[in-house]
Formats: sequence, structure tokens, C-alpha cells
Amino acid sequence: MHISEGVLSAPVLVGGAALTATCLVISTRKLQSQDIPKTALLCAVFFLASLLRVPLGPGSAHLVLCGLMGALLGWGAFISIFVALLLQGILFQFGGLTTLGINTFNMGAPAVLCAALLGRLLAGKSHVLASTAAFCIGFGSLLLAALLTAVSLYLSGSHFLTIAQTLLVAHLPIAVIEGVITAACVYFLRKVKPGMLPYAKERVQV
Amino acid sequence: MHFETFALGDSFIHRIDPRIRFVCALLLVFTLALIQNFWLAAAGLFLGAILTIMAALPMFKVVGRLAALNGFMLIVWVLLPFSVPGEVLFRLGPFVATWQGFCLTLLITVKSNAIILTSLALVCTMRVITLARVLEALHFPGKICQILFFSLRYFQVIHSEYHRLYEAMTVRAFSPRTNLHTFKTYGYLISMLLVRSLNRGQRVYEAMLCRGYSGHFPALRQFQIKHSDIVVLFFGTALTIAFWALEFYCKGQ
Repeated sequence: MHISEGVLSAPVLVGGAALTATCLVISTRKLQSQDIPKTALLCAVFFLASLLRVPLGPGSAHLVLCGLMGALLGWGAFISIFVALLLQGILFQFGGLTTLGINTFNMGAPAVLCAALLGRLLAGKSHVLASTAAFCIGFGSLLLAALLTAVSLYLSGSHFLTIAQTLLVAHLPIAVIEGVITAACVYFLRKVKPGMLPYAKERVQV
Repeated sequence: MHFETFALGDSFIHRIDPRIRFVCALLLVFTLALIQNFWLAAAGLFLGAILTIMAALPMFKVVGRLAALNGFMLIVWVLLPFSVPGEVLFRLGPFVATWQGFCLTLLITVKSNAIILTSLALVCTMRVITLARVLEALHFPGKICQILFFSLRYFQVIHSEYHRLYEAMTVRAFSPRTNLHTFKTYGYLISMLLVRSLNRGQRVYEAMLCRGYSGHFPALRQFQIKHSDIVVLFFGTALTIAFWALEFYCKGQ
């Protein structure tokens, strides 16, 4: 999902950095200090998830979980994705400092958007409805993230069109897996610790 | 953190003040990402290589990181030369590779490698906790720095917890495949990690608040700028200005 350094054009890099900076300011304003441990914890989980490899046919894919971030943190997802991508860039050179802005926006915005649209359903009465909503959040946010990545490649130059299309198609099966895993996560949390989900009746004070 | 492959060395670069090193790295990597001239990018690659040698990084591991990056570049090499219109270089069935496409792909590859080498030498040579302190010193928003500090700590907790749970799964004959059962199990594994660590994280945070935590971690060692650091900052800025001046000069011609 990350775009490597040196590929994108200047306007895309600068535009992405500006968008991410704006969203980071909004999310730091919205973040209450008692939510800091939860945000940091999910940031660590997001980072760990990128190390987990799920078998996919002959190869394997790594988890992204941006939908789950959005569902559990709302706007806070932006900060935790930013920090996790910073760590990945520094420790493994996936992404990096120059593409941190655009990569954070590409993954953070879909996560926040999907969760804002469907998050209310996660704490509802019906298990089926909640799991479906969770699937849609996981599937939708990964697919949207891939779409944004493809668009930012295309905006860097129309010759990237083939690469952008390839990238989008390659992310379809991964998006399905993300959806299923997000649904399983939400199902489990509803049974074990419903207070962690947003809009739950008895929210856990963290 | 046990992923900090390059942080524990001792060299001229490791001894530069981390703040200066980070600022120089930012200047240089953004310059390298934005320039369009091939020869300047090649000069950047040379600069990155020199910095890597100066930092005395373990060569074997550096090559490993570069190989991972260039594995991704392979996809670009397969697709990009065929998608840029221009002078025909060679034909492969219905696909036409162009000279312009070839040049663009080469430029991208050189730029990526230059940026990776520069940031390996300048940023990856500091520990992540030092980087968090650097961001704090450069007046990055306090809440984001706190989240960075906390997530470094939590990552180690979660990572060991993950290994414990995964071992338990292996003992019960779990082997990952491409099926619904595997995906569900991974989902439950991740949420179990969340539930366990959240309880623990909350207790630790409350205990910290009781002991007067106010959003700032006092440090025993403060950053200190030496004379050599000022020289390094001067060189970093001069290099950046030189790169931009040459870029605009070449564009003007």
C-alpha cells in the first residue's frame, strides 16, 4: 500500500503533506488526553498487523487493519496511522519521510470516513448487521485507500496509469480478507468487551 | 526496540546531535524526492553511499534493505517503460518500450535508492526513542509525541503477547491457509491482543497519572550542540541549496 520514495511528483507530495497536516491538527484537537493510551495501543497493533502475513493463494499478504483503526478510534485513527507509518518508514524503510504525508492521508482518510458512515451500526442489537457493517468498513476503507493510492500515482503522471490499475486490482482480494478479519474482530469485541466499540451503551473510560 | 538494526553503532554520524541530523536528513531527502534532473539524482545516490560508508553501517543488512526496495522497483521496471509515449527503444509483441520510459524508470530507481541510503545513514542511526525526543525538541504536537512514546512501549508488550498467543494456537494445531477459518482466527487473535493490552495499558496510565504524569517525560541526558554539529548543519544546508541551484540552472538551459 505504501508508495515508495522518489516515485511521486512534487505537487502530489506537497498536497498530500498539507492534507495530512490539516487532518492531524483536527484529530489532535479532538483527542482527549485520557484517550492517549488507547490510541497508542491501536497504533502498536496497526504496526504489528503489518508484520503479520496472511496466506493468500500461492503468496501472502500483510494485514493493514485501517478499517479497524477507524472503527475503534474515529478521528484518532489518523494519528495512530501517522505514527505507525513513521515507525515503519524508520525501522523498515517501507514508505519513508517524504511519502509519509501522502501515505497517511491515503490510509487515514478512508478509515475515518468509512467509520463515520457505518460506525453507529457496530454497537447495534443484531450480530448479523454489526458484522456486515464491520465487513463493509474493513473492505471499503482498504479499497478506498488503494483507490486513493492509485489516484495519487495517476496524478503524478498519466504514464503511471497501468501501474495504478494493477495496484487497484491486486488489492481487491486483500480488501475482502481485511473485511472478513475486521468483521471477526468486531464480533469478538461485541462478545468480550462491547465497551470498546464506539456508540456502545456503556463506554469504557480509557 | 529489537528492530533498530542500524541504531547501535558508533561513528562520526552516530555522534552528530540527533536534532541536527534529523533536520539535515529532512532537507536532503525532500530535495532528492523533488529534483527531476538525472545527474543530480545520481549525485544524490553517490552522496547517500558516502554517508552510509561514513556511518559504518553493516553492509550486508544495507544491501538487504536495498534489495527489498528494488524488488518493488521490479514491478515499475516491468510496467513503466512500456507506458510512456516517445522514441521506440524496442518492441515486445504488441508492447512498445520507449527511450523516455526507460529514462523515467531509471530516474525513479536512482532517486529511491538515494533517498533510502540517505535516510538509513542519517535517521535510522538514531534510536526511535531518540527520534521521539527530537520531534519533541522540534515542537511537534505534544499529543503525537506522547502517542509515539507510548506505542513504542506497547509494541513490545503486544509483540510478546502475540508470540504467546500464537504459540498457544500452534500447539492446538493451527496452521494458516487461505480459508475463512484462518481469517476468523486472525481476527479473534487481534481482538484478544487488544482486550488484554487495553486493560493493562489503562492500569499503567492511571498509575502514571497518580504519580504526577503531565504529558512530558523528563530526560536524564539533554541534547547538546557541539561545534562540529554546526559545521554539519552548514554543510547540509549548503548541499541542499547547491542541489536546488543546479536543478533550476539545468532546467533554465
